[in-house]
Amino acid sequence: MNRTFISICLFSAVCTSAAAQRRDSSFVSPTVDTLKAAVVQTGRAKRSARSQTSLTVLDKTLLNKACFTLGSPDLLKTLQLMPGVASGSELMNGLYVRGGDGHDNLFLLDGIPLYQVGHLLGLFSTFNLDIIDDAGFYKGGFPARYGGRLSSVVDVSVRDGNYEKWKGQIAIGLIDGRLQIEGPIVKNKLSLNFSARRTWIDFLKILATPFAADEQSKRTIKGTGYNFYDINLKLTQKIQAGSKLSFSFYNGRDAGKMINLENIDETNFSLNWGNSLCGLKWEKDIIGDDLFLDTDIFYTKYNSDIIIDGFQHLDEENIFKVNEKNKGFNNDYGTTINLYCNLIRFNKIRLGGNYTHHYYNPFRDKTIDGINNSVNLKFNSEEVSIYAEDEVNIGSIASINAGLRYSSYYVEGQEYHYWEPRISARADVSDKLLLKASFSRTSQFSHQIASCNIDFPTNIWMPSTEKIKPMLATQYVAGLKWTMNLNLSVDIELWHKNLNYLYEYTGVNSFLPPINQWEQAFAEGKGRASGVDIGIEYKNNSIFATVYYTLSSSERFFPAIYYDWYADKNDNRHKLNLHCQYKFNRDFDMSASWIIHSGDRFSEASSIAWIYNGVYSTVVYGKPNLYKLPAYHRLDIGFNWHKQLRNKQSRTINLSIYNAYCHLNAVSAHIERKNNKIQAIAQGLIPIIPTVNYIYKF
Amino acid sequence: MKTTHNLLLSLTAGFLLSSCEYHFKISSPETEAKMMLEFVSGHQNDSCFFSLRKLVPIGQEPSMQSDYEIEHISLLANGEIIDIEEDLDFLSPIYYKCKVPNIASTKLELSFKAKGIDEISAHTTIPQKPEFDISILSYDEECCNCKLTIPAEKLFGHYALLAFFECNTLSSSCEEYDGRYWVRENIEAMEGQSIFQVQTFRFVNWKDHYKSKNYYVIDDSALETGEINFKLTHSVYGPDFLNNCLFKLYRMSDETYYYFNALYNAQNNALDNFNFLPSNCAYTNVRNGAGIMGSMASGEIIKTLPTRK
Repeated sequence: MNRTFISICLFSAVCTSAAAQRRDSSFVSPTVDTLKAAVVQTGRAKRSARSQTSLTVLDKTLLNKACFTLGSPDLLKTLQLMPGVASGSELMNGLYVRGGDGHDNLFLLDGIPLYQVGHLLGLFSTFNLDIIDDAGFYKGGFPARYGGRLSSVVDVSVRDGNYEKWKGQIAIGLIDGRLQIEGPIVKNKLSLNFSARRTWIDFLKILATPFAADEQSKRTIKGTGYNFYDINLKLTQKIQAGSKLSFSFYNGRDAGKMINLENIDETNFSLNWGNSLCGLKWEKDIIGDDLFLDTDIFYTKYNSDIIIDGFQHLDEENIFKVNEKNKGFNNDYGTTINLYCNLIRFNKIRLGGNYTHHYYNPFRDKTIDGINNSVNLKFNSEEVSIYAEDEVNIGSIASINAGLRYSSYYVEGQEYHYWEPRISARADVSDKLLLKASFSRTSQFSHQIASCNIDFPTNIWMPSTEKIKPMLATQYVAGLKWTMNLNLSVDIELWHKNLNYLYEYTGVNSFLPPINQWEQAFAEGKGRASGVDIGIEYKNNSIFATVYYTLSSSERFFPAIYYDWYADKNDNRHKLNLHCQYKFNRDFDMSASWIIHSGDRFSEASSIAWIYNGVYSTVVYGKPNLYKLPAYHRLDIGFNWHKQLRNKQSRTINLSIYNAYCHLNAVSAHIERKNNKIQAIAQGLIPIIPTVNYIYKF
Repeated sequence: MKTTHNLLLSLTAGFLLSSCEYHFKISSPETEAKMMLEFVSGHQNDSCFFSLRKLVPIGQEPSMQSDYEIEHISLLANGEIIDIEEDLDFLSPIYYKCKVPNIASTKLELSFKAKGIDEISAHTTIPQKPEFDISILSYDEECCNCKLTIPAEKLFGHYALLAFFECNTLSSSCEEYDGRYWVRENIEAMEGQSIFQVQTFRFVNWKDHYKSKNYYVIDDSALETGEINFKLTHSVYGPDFLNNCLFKLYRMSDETYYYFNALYNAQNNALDNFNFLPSNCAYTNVRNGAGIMGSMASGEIIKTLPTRK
């Protein structure tokens, strides 16, 4: 309670200080950007739905100031602050949107799907913001052009390189470094935008080696390490007026290793995962801005592996040589076409389709004491979808976006076909008040399977099959937006979501993905979630402040797990986020974000019984996810010092403080027997993390 | 440069020094006592024994087992009442005895109310007896390698396996079958987690009320083809073993399989007791209570072992 009070005081102090400074400041920035809910002209063909509900657009300026994690601004950490979104375990990049699961989100990088978006077990996301133009985040009311995932769409666009001149930036932080460069390869014709990022955590162990107490410690340090990198590239060629060809490429990889020493025996663990994608996109005006199309071909790949090589000690005498490789691999290639037609007055029509070939290849090869056992599964599947969307504007008082998507999936002789109606509408009651509502049905054919209660990046993706059905969701949203004046607005959305054909692991617990148990070890169930998201935004030229609150409930029903509905593990009943960005003057700005939400849930023993008259007792598990971790709260603060240098160069020094008042939030829990009493105990691990980052722009 | 260096060093040191662990006490969300039922018909040949215990929330002082008063108990088989014996000497009222018709597709329903505690209810449907064959692949001093085969058209449901060596004399670890004595053997799967042993210590044996019974549950995924190889190893060595082996294969109802799975997960938490344990570790099909109402049906085969090689 004290910590909560202190955190509120600290946050208030930060905001008050910011407000006080604003009064003293004579500089008013003309460029402070805002979260533009339901707005949107970032690129002619994108997110133009005036009637859109549950959409947040984050542009480049906002993203670069929003939420810093270990010195780098991060897209997913920013999205986690949004109402209706649960983040899962501390520091993880989980995105559990309106009762959805972690794998229900469609991540698009220049329109190409990405399967895994976390680096460093979720501390960073794969999106390097240096190269990103903007990101659209849909939590509901999905336009018909999006499909393949149940709960949200994160549509990220990479910026075209500058056609006029070369420029770029270098950023050096405590644990990572970034380089971004863009410019014309052929002036006004062909541009390039390139960025690369890498951590140097693995170099820090070199510093630790001299402090190793003995040879064993040295071996441990040597055998332990972690790094990640990612590379983005975009080449854009203007072919002629109204025609453009662009090539996008992304490659990212995480590699971690650990060593376990038991006497002279050495066991090495390694954990690797990464994405690669590339795509070629052609955009063409047919009749000016009234009729145009874009089409692309793409390839995306995700692979992960867990390798164990060493010895298994059952007891002093029974020691086995173990070599185990668990690999998950899937790739997609396909094509998309979209046609945009504005020829009919008050109508914006979009038509399009998508074909994707999915290939899944999970693999396990295990040898214990010379006895080999391997499982190598291969699935090929085809996904075909077409859609039509029409946004009708009824004067200036109302607009409706009605669409229909047809999705089909072919796998191993099995076919699935779904019609997915989507509709969102808005009515302007007055200049200040608008009402909005939406309905959407979505389907998802790929499942990410986990064998425990946490979403690891190495969890493998599997297709729908005859037994494992595609997941389906239906979402209803109704709300209002009240713009009190130019500076202040209130946005309220009520939502309800039903999820069907969800799958939960029912086998023996393990950290390793249950490759050989696909279909058998998963139980079918359903989910339901409802809630209200409230967003209050205040903005002027130098300050941007938001208050986001969510009241929600999320439940699951799996007959193979429990006879009744039970709380979802990410059922955070209350969530409040206070965020403030303030620009003191041209050279200095700061941001602060305070978040508090109800704790995550977990399953543990809840009751105790005597087995035999006071001689032997046993603990009994109650309802799944019955326990709740303590409420989660933390304050993050970021400061930016900018300095204009010669020749239009500049530098920025960023100081970020994650968890500023060092509240150790519970990340795990267990049952402990102490003084003849059994108690549930939770542990907190992540303290204050201050970081600095130096950014040089040229 | 020096300033930057010092700043970096102090920040890094601050970060490392502030790394620590903090404990929170979480109060139990269960505040009221409830009943726990453990009923699995078909795990013993003649009668069915089941238990009803009072559970108290964690953090409270556990009560003695007989600390409840029965208001109402009923057991139905396809809607017909089955008699329940309650007066089991000092075991009462924890353990109960009844005769359940061992007929496939019979629906068993139980409801129970203790004074001051919510009424519980549960049901199960008795599965069909399994049909199977066992081949002895090899037999030596170390172990006996066997193969279980279930015909494809009979392959449905979930299975657990027990194996016994015949012995001459009756001991506490023996079971009686077909007028002969049998000692239970250890079963190991050829592949890691295809067969897991679950300790169902709460099942009661009428003559020996505190005897545990372990089942070797065959993971569903291991029986896709209807065949699984396994090996037997002697749990006890003695001079009076005969060269006969008894195999009991149990076909379990869904809820029995889920419950055994959950028990195994809770008893062998490979995830080190953190909250990463899958939700299914909390399985129950007892409404307003905890535990299991399940059923199984067993088939038996006796094999004479070849001469040891």
